[in-house]
Amino acid sequence: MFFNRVILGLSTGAFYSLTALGIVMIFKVTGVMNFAFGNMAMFMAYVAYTFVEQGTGPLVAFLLILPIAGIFGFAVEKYTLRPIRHLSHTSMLIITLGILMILEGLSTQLWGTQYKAFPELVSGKPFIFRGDFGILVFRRQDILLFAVLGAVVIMITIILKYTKAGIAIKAVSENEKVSQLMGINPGKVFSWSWIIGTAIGTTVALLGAPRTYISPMMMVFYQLQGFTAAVLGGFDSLIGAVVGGLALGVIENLVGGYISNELKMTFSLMVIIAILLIRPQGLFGSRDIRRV
Amino acid sequence: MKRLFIVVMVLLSILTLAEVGVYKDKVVIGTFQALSGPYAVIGQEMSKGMNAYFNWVNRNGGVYERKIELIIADDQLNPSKTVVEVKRLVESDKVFAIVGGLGSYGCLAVMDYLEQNRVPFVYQGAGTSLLVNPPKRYIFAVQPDYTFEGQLIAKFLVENLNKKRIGIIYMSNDVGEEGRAAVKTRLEKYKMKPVIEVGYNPLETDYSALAINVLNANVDSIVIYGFITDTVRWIKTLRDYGISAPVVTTYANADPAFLTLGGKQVEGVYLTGWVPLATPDRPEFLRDYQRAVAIFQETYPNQPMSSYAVAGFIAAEVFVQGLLRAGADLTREGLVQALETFKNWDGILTKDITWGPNLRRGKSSMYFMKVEKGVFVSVTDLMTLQD
Repeated sequence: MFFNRVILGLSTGAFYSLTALGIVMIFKVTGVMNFAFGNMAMFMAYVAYTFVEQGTGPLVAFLLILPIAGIFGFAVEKYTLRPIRHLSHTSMLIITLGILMILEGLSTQLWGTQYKAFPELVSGKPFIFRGDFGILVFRRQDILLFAVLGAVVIMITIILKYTKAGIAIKAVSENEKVSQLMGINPGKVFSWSWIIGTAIGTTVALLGAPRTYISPMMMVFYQLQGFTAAVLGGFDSLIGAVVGGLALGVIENLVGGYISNELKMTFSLMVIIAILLIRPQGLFGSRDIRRV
Repeated sequence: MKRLFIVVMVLLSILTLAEVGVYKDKVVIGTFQALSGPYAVIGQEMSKGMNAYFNWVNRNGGVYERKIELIIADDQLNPSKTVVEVKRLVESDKVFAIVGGLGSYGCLAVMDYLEQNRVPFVYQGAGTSLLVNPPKRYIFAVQPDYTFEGQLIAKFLVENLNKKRIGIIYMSNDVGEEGRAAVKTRLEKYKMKPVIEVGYNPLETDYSALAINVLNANVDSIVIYGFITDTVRWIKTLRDYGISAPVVTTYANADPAFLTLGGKQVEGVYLTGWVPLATPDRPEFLRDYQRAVAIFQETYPNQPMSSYAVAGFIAAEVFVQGLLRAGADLTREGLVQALETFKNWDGILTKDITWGPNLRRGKSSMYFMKVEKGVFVSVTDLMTLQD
């Protein structure tokens, strides 16, 4: 039973990891907590739904929407946040809250008030395993989710390690001013982080859509858990986001199984507070050390 | 001087006698709905149902030559906003009554305020029994409450389907808890207990771990007290885990969206219902429904009428009937007395509404329906707990 719960926890946690990755990617580089992260992904899910409605399969819609999501993230950063970047981070935070509300209202105006069903990207009967551990059901979509998480992690690692854009992202997140002196254009780097972050968020929305259904609220839970996972893993660490998400999923399932399902979230958050009391920077976050 | 005194006295007496919100040519009423925010999906639809019906009444001359003016306050289904909005409606907009407020928590938040201020509150888009139990003079409920419904579900499972091992899956909030308690109360009458009770957070998106508990409990039937998205999610998870026991769920899910989202997975699911199904075998209901859709589409051409719009339509229909019975000299007390005369009243979509002194639960009968080949089909006639 324990094994069963851990596996199910990892499956739930994969969603949290991906969400946290998207949030951290934007925060790490631009220092902005993007409160509109979930709603931007939700809006893109509605656009993908329109493609499916027009007759494209869900997979084609998914492939079409990723570049659109990237452009959307680019536009939001370039035209709403960058002009006020010199003011303060609080102003940018308020802008993201504004975008959150605009997209929420706009989505019901454009697509109506009914929930929309979005098909699974891969369909078919789930894989069922029975043994001493009880029964374990793997939906094909869950397996795809793991694969996507793995692919995103590998891709981000390659980009950050081996490409100029990736090295620039790392440099700007370390020190914006110094990297500028080294000939890096921080504006471009900000754009890239928003492009990648928004595309990751959209991936979560589309993978989750068969369960959450497309509605203005579809990303609320994922965004909440994504933030929590990012805090747990360390807000400035991409690996932390992945591990934090998976850990949160497992903690939740173990608490739900052995203590109380109704208090699952409460207990999970208590565990996380306990961890943060010992490591305030999160599991993989770096400590902010300043010269006195 | 004497003439001026008389004029002032006459004006004063008119002002004193005139009821709040009632004018020569109109009655101003208010409602609170989630027009924006995440629950706008429900609030906008319910508002449409009300608007459509009132527009139709107004186009046909109004009630005693008074048009009905509806002010819709947007509370985003947030009870703290509901309180502010309803106070504004009552104190600034001077509405005559509140009709068709949406959401259990919002309705409960303003229930005492409206009662104390003697403002009639007709139809709540809510299923909590606290609104009608104990009865309050100015609060008139139409929708069945979950305490009544939960007991009827248990009765149906035991007496109609002969089930012995009943499991309850419920949202961990007031709605789910009330439903669960009601099912258990009725089961106790049969000297039975649920074999498993599973509470869940409706925001969660994966119930796999909980489904294992249900699987191990070996249930022969399941009651799900959840709303559309999480109920469909539950049913899909249960079926993935090979649990094929029949599922019964609340009337709140009897919406076309339940069929669209659930697809084949919701085949065979039982639901309670209180608005008659417009099926070919009941031509009288079909005719009523077509009439309602025609009225609805006069205001919203070519738009389908969702179950939330139906709820709004019924709220408006019941209120207008109350106005008609209250007579031309409209007062709040007159409306209350008029509503208390409803006895098994049938409107276009509204059926079997009864109120009386100390009786504020409008519906005390429901029927059961089943999803068959992608449509709702009724499987029982109206049932009461006393049958």
